[in-house]
Amino acid sequence: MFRTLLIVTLLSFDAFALWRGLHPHVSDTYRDYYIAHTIDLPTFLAREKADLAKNPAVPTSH
Amino acid sequence: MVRPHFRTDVAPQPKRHSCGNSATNLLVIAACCLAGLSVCALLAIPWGGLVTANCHWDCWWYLDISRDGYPSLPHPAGTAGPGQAAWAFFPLYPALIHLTNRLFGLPPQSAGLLVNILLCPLLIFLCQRDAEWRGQPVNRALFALFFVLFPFTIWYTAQYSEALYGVVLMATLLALRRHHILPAAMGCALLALTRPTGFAMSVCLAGWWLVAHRDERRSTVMAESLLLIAAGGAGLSLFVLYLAHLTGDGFAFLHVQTAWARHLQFFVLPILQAFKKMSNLPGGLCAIATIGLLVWMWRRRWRLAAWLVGMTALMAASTSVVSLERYVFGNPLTIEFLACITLTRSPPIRALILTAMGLFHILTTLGWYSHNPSLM
Repeated sequence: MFRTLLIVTLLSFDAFALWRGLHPHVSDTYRDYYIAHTIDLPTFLAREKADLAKNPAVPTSH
Repeated sequence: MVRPHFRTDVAPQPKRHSCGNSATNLLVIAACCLAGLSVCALLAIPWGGLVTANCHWDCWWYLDISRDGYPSLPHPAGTAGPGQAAWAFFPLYPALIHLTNRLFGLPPQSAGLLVNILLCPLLIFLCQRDAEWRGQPVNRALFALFFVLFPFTIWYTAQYSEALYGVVLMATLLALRRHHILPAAMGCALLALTRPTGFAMSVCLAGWWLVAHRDERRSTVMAESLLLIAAGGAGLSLFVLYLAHLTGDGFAFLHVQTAWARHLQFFVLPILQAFKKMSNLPGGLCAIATIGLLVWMWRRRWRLAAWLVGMTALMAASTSVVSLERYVFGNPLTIEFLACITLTRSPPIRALILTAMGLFHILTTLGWYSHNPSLM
């Protein structure tokens, strides 16, 4: 009984983390470079710099 | 051909060891490690001593994490490794460095080395126990000497996570061999927090458990296998949720590999590409040697070791052959297998192999201290 409860709890936790991992809350710049691979490194760095200059208080990864 | 002295991975062989026996054994191992470390310390003098000479490449990432935690942003333009971030490095080893730093007041670089110096004898001890479980007649002192002299153990005394990963892997394996499922599940969770391959090892161990105990009650074995996977998943999930909180991307540890130009591809392609460029040739040769090693392990009925090392190699080679020698030939299961093979040879051949290994170890150590990129 304990083992079953433990497995169910751990699997629920794993499922939640998987769901959270599959739904990232990131900037377009981050998504394009790290996830979609549609831009190269120099473009990513230039866009990050521009994003940061526009809104320095907010980290651009979010 | 099946050698009678090699046991299969399935049938457990419970063996009792007295405390005094184990303590003496640990002392012998510690003496061997200390002797090896003294030679390394002498070799390290031109590079500023053992602590400094050992710390490069991944070491700096681990030290950064232990000192400042994980960053929320990658390295900006104009810095070393723009776009790269510490998210690729798993938290258990830097957490241990941080703890050692707090407990003993050592600088992080020394704390990282101390952790590994303490873990190394424990790893040899666990590998010995595993070899004995297989019914392999092991001369304990020679086994420890083999480990210390083996050329690809240089990362066990550098500020890398190899020693911790090795200890957790072998402890988990031994717990499973003794049917201690809950400690093994704990081990799986810790494995997943140590290195990116940790969770995959949990899945591999669960698969092996299922196959190895197919004659027992199906539901029980299924539940035990599921527990190992769920526990490994929980370890990884902790890191995923932390990264999701910090960066917004729970799989940042995976996605950041892009900044190192590592992309998932069919594992044969990176191996073929390695032969096109002279600087990547050692990686390509290592991949060929890995295939030979896996076939040898399989034929000698070291099937669990072949399965675990093979999956590690497959995952590593699916992005790049760089560091393959560390993942495969620095793996404790590989070293244990080669030690068992060597120590059953006749004394003259054994002495010859150990001497050659000792010389090669000095070369790899000097290569490591002089930042040879073939040993990343």
